[in-house]
Amino acid sequence: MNKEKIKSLSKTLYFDLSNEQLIELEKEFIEIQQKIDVLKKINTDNIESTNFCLVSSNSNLRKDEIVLASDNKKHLSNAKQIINDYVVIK
Amino acid sequence: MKSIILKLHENIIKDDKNIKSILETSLQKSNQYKNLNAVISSTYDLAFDKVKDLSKYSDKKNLLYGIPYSLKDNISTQDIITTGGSLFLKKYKPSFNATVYEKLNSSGALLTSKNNLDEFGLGGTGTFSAYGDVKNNFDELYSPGGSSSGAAVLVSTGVVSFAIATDTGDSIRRPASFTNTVGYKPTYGLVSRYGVLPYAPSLDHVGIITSTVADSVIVAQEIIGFDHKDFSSQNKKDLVKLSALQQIKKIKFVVIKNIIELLTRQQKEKFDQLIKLLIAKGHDINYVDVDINLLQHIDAVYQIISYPEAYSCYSNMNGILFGENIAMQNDDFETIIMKNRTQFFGNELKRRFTIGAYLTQKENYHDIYIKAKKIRTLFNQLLQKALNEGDCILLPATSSTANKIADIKANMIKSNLIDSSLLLSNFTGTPSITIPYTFFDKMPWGINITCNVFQDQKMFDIAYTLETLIDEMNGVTNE
Repeated sequence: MNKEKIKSLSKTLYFDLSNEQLIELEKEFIEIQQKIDVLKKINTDNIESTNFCLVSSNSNLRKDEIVLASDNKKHLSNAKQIINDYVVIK
Repeated sequence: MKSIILKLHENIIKDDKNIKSILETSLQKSNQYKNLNAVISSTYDLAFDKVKDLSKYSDKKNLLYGIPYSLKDNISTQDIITTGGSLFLKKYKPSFNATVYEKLNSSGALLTSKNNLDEFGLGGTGTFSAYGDVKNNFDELYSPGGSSSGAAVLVSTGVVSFAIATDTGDSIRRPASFTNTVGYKPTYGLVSRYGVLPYAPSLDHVGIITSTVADSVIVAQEIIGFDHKDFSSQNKKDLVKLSALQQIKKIKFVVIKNIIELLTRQQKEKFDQLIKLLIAKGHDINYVDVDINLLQHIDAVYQIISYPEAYSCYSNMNGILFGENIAMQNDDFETIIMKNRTQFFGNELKRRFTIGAYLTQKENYHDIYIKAKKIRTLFNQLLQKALNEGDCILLPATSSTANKIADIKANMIKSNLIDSSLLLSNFTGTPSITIPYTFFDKMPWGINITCNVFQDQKMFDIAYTLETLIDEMNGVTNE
């Protein structure tokens, strides 16, 4: 991973990295890649992935509950700009 | 029984008016320790208001009735600013409460502050909050650890008798070791995560920091419970009870020999002193070896699993519906997000998100991400094998005492598998608790106990037994 690739990766996440951070990450990716190369050698044949700690969940899916806002103004107060109860995107 | 909450409760039972003086003492201490930067938002005003009508909404017999406490600021509180330790949510007021906060409200406990943390819980040092470093109360040049840095300091200084925090890697148990407190991470899913700003949902746990084991049990019995709003919530009624808390006469402790070998000579002497005491009291110690070649990959696997989960959790942060927004007129949607995230995400967040995005790129997904999830299964098997050798695993909680803030910033901190071993409980969901043990150069150093899933009561019993023995060893007498 070079600086340009890291930069384009951060663009996919919608933020810019400072030049200092790009330099640090470039170094860190070398270490990460080394760790990954070793990790890949671990035998995981016939091993299932663990996605969550415990699979015996009691409610894998739930119905979404409609929570009606008690005070619309309170909710809208979190938005930077509103006009007539609509959030302004710019 | 060693408990601060029970003492406060006795006072409250005697006279309701004592709640106000308990709150005043808490506020006084909060002001006294302001320089430690443990608090993001103070809610004492709301607490004093709530006292007026407390008996109308809560049962005076509840042990948490009138007890001041603090919430880590990644736990949603309706109409109270919840920053997550991030500038992005500097003025964000949630429109709903986290379940854990609802439960504490019902019990009559009094929220006095939202405490400081590493941004959204991503960091183990207490130095990654947008609201400044948290300082260790034993020496201000040192960090209390993180990410639950503020929670640990507020309990350690006696500002509150308990704090609710979160633990994705070791974020409750590590600061507990550095601040002479009890840090409890329950079995995965016992405490609802609904309304808690996530770090990595497959590893996130909500837990408790207190001064004593009994206090941890008192809070746990209140906040544990099934919640249909949390898809990973476990339905286990009455799993933990104060009335069931007991000393155990014979415990079989599992000590992982090839981890203990990493201790310094001074630490080893002190750890052996505890082992000798346990044997003298009739307990058994079973030394086992684990596959160190496998375990050495634990930090890498943690990164591979947690960082992608983290960045996907925060994809809704764009500054439009909520959060900070510095966009200009006529900026398009992408520019708005870009500006806001660049400005308001901290560097550690950006670092972890970038690495996370790399790890889950199309070409890496199977070879790296899925591979790590399979190795997580191997870690589960490793821990299970060790747990099968006795009642619990006993290990030092951290490889050292607290680190200097300056050394953390200079990237000079060395850690080893002792620190990483705490991650095993997040991978597996097993309950894990750090309790105070000793001091080196006036800085605390805790020990950690891990049991099998849903053995939280047994783990508390073991921790209570150890706490009593350690107090005896140190000549501490408890009423």
